[in-house]
Amino acid sequence: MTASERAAITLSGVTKSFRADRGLWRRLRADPATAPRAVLDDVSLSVPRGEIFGLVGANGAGKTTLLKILSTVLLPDRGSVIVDGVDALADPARVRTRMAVVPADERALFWRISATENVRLFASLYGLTGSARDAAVADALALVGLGDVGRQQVGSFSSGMRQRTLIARALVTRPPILILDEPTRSLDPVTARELRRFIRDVLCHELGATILLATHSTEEAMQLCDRAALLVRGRVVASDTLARLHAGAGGARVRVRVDAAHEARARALLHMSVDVISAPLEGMVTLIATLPDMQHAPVVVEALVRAGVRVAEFAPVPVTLADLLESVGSAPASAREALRHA
Amino acid sequence: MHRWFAVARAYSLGMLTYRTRTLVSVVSVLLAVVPVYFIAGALQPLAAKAIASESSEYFTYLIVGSVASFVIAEAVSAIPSLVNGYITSGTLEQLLTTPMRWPSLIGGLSTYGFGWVAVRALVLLVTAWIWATSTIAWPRLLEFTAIMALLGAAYLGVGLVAGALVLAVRSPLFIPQAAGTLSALLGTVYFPSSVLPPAFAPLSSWVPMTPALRAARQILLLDQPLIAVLPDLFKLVAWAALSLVVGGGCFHLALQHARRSGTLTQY
Repeated sequence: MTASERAAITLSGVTKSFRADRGLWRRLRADPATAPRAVLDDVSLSVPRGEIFGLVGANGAGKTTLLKILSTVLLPDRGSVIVDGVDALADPARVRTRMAVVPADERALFWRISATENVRLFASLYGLTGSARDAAVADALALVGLGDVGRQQVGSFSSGMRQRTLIARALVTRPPILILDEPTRSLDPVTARELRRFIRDVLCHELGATILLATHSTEEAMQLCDRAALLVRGRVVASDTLARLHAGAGGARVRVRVDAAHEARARALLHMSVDVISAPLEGMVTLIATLPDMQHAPVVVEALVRAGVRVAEFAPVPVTLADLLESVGSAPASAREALRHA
Repeated sequence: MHRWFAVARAYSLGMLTYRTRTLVSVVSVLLAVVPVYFIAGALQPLAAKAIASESSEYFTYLIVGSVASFVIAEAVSAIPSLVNGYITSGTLEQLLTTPMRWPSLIGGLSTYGFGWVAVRALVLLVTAWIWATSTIAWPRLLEFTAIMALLGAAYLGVGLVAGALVLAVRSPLFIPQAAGTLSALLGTVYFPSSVLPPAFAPLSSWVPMTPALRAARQILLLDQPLIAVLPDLFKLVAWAALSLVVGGGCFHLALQHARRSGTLTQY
């Protein structure tokens, strides 16, 4: 068995350019503004079976374009795409039977019909009929927690419920590969956390699906993904396990809130790079410090307390996309700077 | 085929929730008959001789023309409109990630529209039957429906070409409007081709609407035998086949183009 057969998804040298402006008249006039712009540049990556793989990048990095190529609705200019052992460019119809896509946009649902009818439609499109289809629809809706409200119009749902309907629609045939495009984009923090738990515990662990997840949130990637690829302006600048990417981001950053009167003592004790100091608030000041790794945290806390520093908070700071990109180093400085302030 | 029905079912269930719009649509058909009735009555003495080979009454002549207009309006404009809307919402792209082929998708999405045309046409015909002095050959309704279906197929190619343009360049250009207007002017919807200026009269025979309406009127309004309209039916079948082949080919190529250029979705 070759490496590409072992992997659920293998991309090699995928390149794609788009015209910046597709207006007919500008194209007929060969306006330079319509010149093709590279969106994906020689992208290669491999997604192991049964894992959650993150495609992490800022808006416009090319994540959605890559997902569209995988889902066979877009053809690359160059490169090869193998999904579940099938060449997606040579046999797209077969690839479509082996995976399902959960789009970022809820408008892709039929809003004037019920969730049950939405899921039933997709079950039929994947070839299910009769009682087998009805059972699969009921199962999929129950799995995402919409069993009781399946008869309601999707238009009356909240964003979270619509997102769940999209997932139920994708799950109805239990495909081995699921593609999720920013699934928590429009959700509130609580609903987003529930959905992440569902993706990890149910979709990946219980159902054993391979999941390719596009996100611009490193927090989401950290919580969910086994591995991730960092995409910057259409190029994969790093692809590894999250633990290694995290370690490469320069150790663990911690937020330390101490008594303002003890700030100098705390800084001296921490004697490490202190990135940010907030203005004193209610007599406390916040420092952001970088530890070699989180193993050092108890030692640092103990040292601060022994030195008589009043510590109100000592908590890890989530690694940001900018941190990851900085650690990779190959990302353009302007992109890193823009992301830091995003 | 079950994929076609699945799409048609989902789309129709959604459309049927627009109850007010549905009611207004039926009422507007009924209201539209009123001026047609009085205008046709006034012009009957002038038109009687010119329309004699297709109808004995100008009012029913116009009603059948209106039914054909409904059919071609749907055939030429439904597909580009649906494609445009579904590109914008991302639904088209989503549906194309499934194992369904595009003819099932387009067929399924168009089914409700043509079904609704059939309902409005029936309302129009029943209203005409109530008001008209001449009779309508109801036993020939099935043959009339088949002729209208062939007419729809003959113009569906135009709709597919317009849909293909939407896929490729996001605009149907002027194709649906041009097809509708030319057919209304040259296709004997409101008047027979004999009253057209001599320069335009020959063009009338090159519009699929002309043989379709001639056959439909002779069947439904004059109760002529099917054999009497066979030449027109052959023409219509040829138009339908040509239209579906050319339109289908264009749509297929446009879909390939859209997959390469990224116009299948709204960025």
